[in-house]
Order: sequence, then C-alpha cells, then structure tokens
Amino acid sequence: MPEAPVIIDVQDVSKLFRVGKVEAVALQDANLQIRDGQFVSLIGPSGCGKTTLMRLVADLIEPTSGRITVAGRSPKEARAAREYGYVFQAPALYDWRNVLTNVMLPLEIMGWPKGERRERAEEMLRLVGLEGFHRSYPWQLSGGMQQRVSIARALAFDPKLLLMDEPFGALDEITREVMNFELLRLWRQTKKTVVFVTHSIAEAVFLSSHIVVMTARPGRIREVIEVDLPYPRDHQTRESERFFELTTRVREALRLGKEGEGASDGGHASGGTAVGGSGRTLAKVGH
Amino acid sequence: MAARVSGRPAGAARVWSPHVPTVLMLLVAIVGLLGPFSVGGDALLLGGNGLAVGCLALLAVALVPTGWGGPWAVPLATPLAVSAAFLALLAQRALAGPAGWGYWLTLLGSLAAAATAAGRVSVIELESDAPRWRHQVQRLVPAATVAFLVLLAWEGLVVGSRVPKGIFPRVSDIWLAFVGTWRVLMADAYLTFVKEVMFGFAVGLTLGFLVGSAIAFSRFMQRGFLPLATAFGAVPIVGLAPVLGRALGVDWESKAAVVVIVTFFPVVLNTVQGLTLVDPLKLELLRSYGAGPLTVFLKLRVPNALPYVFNALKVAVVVGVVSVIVAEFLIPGPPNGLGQRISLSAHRGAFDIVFAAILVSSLISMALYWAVGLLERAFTSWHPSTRGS
Repeated sequence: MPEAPVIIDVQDVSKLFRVGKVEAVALQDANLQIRDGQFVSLIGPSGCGKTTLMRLVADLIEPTSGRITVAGRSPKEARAAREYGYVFQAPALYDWRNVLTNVMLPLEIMGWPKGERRERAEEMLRLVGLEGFHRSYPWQLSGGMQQRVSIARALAFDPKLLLMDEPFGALDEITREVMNFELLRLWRQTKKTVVFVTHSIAEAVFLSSHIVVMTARPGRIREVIEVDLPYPRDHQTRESERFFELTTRVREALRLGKEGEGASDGGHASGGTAVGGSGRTLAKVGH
Repeated sequence: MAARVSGRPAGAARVWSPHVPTVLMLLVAIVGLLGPFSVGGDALLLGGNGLAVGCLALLAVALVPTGWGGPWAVPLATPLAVSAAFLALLAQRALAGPAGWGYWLTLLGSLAAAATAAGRVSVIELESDAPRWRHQVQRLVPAATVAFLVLLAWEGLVVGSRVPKGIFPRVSDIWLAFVGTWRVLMADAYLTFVKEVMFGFAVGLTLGFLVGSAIAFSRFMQRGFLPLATAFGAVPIVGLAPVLGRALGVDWESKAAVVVIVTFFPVVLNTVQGLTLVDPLKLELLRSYGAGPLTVFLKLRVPNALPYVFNALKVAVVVGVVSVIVAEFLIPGPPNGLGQRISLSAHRGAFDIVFAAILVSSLISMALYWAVGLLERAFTSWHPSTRGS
C-alpha cells in the first residue's frame, strides 16, 4: 500500500507570545508531517503548545519562524480555499439560529444555493444522529448534542481537514465515550484527516492513528506514537492488552518529558523531537 | 375508633374554615349601615331606604361563601361586596351634605372585603395541566379587581367628602370629560405620540444605530466620541427644551427633537456594546470560513447587538414619553398635544380633562412599551431574557 500524500507539513515552527515585556515561548522548533486520512491527536500538559500548533495550522495565528504548508499551500490560502472545519472547545453555536440553520451557516457564507444548503445540512444532522432536532435552539440541547451540531457544521462544507480543539473537554465521562464512538465512526465514514487536541490519554489512544506527545515550557513535540489498534474499535478495544500498553507508553512519554524539563537547565539543548534521533518526525500511514 | 395512619384519610372531604378577614370586613360594613350616611343624619336602613336595604341584602349573601371558606367560594363575595359599595355610594350621593361615619364604615368595609376575597384567587393551587384559561383567570382577577377597587374607592371618597369638581374630580367626571372631548384628545394624542414620539423615536434609533456602528469600528471614534456620549447620557435633556424651541420653532419639530436626543444616547451606547461584546470563538469560527468583515457584521455582530438595542429602546420609550409631555409644558406653541392639553386645562381648573388626558397618554405609553416588548420577543426569542415567554 503506497503512502498517502503529506497534507500538513510543519517545518521548524516556533511561536513567541509577548505579554507586556515578557516573552513566552509557546512552541519551539516543531516539526510534524500529517498524511491524508490520518487521525492525529496532540496530547500534553497545559502550556505545551498543542492548541497553539493547531491554531497555527488553521491560520488563526501566524508563526514567529518556520514554515507550514497545508495541501501544498500556505495556511492562509488553505483557509481562503475553505479546507478547514474547526471544532472548538465550546460548541460556539449561534444562539439566534436553530440547529438546522446553524449547520447551514458556513454554506450560506460560501454561497451555496438555498436548496442545496438545506439538503446538505439535513444530511449532516443525520450523520451525527440529530434528525428530529432541526427546529430546536442551542439552549434546548444538552452539551453533547450541542457539540454534535458543531461537528455537523464543521463537516457541512466538506473540508479536507477537521481540526478539533478539545471538543469533548467540557462533557461528562459517559457522554464523552459515546461521542468518541461517534467521532470514530464519522472519521471512518468520511475519510477526513483529523487533528485532535486532547488532555485525555485514553481518548487519544482510542481515537487516533497517531499520537503526538508534547511537553511544556517551552512547548515542544517530544514523540510521535503510532497506534496500531485494529479497526473497527469498540468497547473491547478499550479493554484489550494492547490498549493498556499504548496508554502506558503515552503516559511514560509524558512523564519523561516532565523529567526532561527539570533537567533542561543543563545540557538538554533545543533539538526538536526525540524520535529516531532526527529533528524531524515523520508520521506514517497507520491503516 | 379507626387509627389514622398518616395524613388525611383517602376520600375524606376537606373541611374549610371561614375566611376570617373577609367575614370581619363584611360585618364592619353591616355595622356601618346602622349609622348615619350624612353628618347629623339618621341611619338610612331604619328609614327603609331601598338602596340601604339592597346593600344589606348583598352583604348578608356575601357572608355565606366566605363563612364556608372554600378557595373557589370566597372570591364569589367580591362582586357582591363591590355592588354593595356601589349602592352605598349611590345612597350617599342622593343626600344633601358630606358623609357620616356610617357611610365610611360601609364603603371601606365592603371594599376591603372585596379585596381580601379576591386575594383568595391567587392562593388556589391549580394542577399544572389545568386549562390555560384557568391560569389566565387566576393571573388577571386580582390585578383587575385591585384596579377597579381603587377607582371605586376614589369615587366613594370624593363623593363622600364633597370635594368640589374644580379641585379634585370624581372618576365619573373624568369619564364624562373623556366621552365629551375624546375627539380633541385623539387629535392631541396623534400629534404627541405619532408625530412627536414615534417620529423622534424612529430618527433617534436610526441615527443611534448608525453612529454606534461607526464607533464600534473606529478606534478614533471609540476614544473621541464614546466618553462624550456616555457623559451626555447624564444631561437632563428636557432642560434643553426651551433652547430647542427657539432653534426649531414651537411646533411639533422641537418636541420630536427632544425625543430624538433621549433615544439617541442609550441606543448608541448599547449598540456599541452589542456589536463589540462578541464571543471570540464565534468570531474565529467565521474567520476559519474565510468570511469578510461585512459578513461578520451581518451574520454575527448585528444579531448579537439586538438584545442590547432592545434594552435601550425600552428605556427610551419610557423616558421619551415623559420628556415629550414636559417639553410640551416648556415650549408653549399651538394649543394641541396631550402635554399642552394638560397644562392649559390645569390653568383653567378643568381637572377632569387633565385626568382624561393623563389617562389617554398613560394608555398609549403602555401600549408602546408593550409593542416594543412584543417586537423584542419576535426578534430575540432566542435570548435568555425572553426565552420561553
């Protein structure tokens, strides 16, 4: 099976934030390649730059140095070409629109004909399991349902990339597991490339084809772990031995990162990621 | 003897006790019938006066449901007690002089009984699946009763103490004045509300929204104009009325200008807030779609600002009506308009017309406020402040 083409290419990217006179390094020398159709999770402690990395890819902020290409273009061009479906921590639904018109919002902006908008939005709501809620308003829905609407909205205009910034962070554990199943099913069905920011190790292992482990202060990519759990994944996957091995491996990588941070006053020079001894991490196609 | 397990035995009828306040007030009213209805006069009841006998009969009948005390029964005393008060009032009006203690006891006792009896309506526990009209009746009855009782008490007090019409009119005088002059009052209302208030309102809203939008998008305007607008909100605009009268003439234009100004400032401030206090995630969402500033304005900022603007409008309606009436006092022009009507009639001692004019302006003012509220619900039904209502 030939390798899928690289769709996101992050080369030596750093991002500095200036707050008053203090400069903070949010992300340092990040290198990452994501291939078409992968499900890549960014995991790490607060302040490790995972959200920054995602926002750089989405062209919501610009890098201080380094270069990012998305499908062979700059992030700005990719955004103009509507390659991004962004799902935020909060559903960010428009309160004055009902479920159906919320999903139609991007289509309206992108100038789809009226009939097609409606058809497409209905199709997306079917996909996320929200038929029969078309006329409801966001405040009438539970948190999980609101986030489903936001996912339907992100998928509506068929973007190449689905960027998800801790989308289930605000949900309770039970709803979260249900949403994980749904997301996995959607991903397999739509074959989108997904970049997924999370705090949860179990969530990352269950969902991803690849996990990017990041460490804080300064934010760096530490390791990329390939998740070789077979598909389709279900409840048994969560209880399998391999699942535990992988969560342990992620946890250890996170812990090592923390210890490394303590020692970094000394000889731990900046050198990008630790994988394969090169500064460059190449994520492979996982399935 | 059967042991009671807990609570009320199933199927047993509830036993009601008399509603004490209402019963007491009815008894006070009956005692009043035995006293003089005019100073130095005799008890009308003992003289066989038909109105007094009817009054006694109504009060006696009212004792039956209140003595039994069921929550649906007690309010039945309200119409009876109100009718009794009305008969007492008619009986006193037929007499020559001001009222004696008998009249006051009967009048106030029966009015108080009507009020306490009506109050029982609001403590009735309705099942949540009871028909809608029952809930509406429960909500409307106490309010309507209180309003009616206030009018009746007013009439009864003015009649009983024989206040001259030129000092304080009776309700019935006001009604007659309204019926006699309603054509004039409607013409006044057209001038005051349609030409001055509504026009000023529309202009103030439009200008306020435009200037508010300009401020929201220009840093210079935000620094230079916004503090000024905030400070201007504190200026008592009506004080400027004579100046406006000199500048714009004494006709309706100067009064409309007052409304424009009092509408403008709150609308500007709230528009700026509504357009700028936007959830950053919702902004980034549009940005991730590659949306331009016009799209952001129309799809996000304007809907976000609507609840703020409606809040400003609700304030502006109230302040606008008050300001326009006062402005008509302060800028005497052609003798038209409700404010002018009030001012001119008061000068010549026609207080019945003063009150009729106040009545008309109150009703229209309430209707305006209600209309703004209706529009608000139609346009911002999604907002927490109007949800589900």
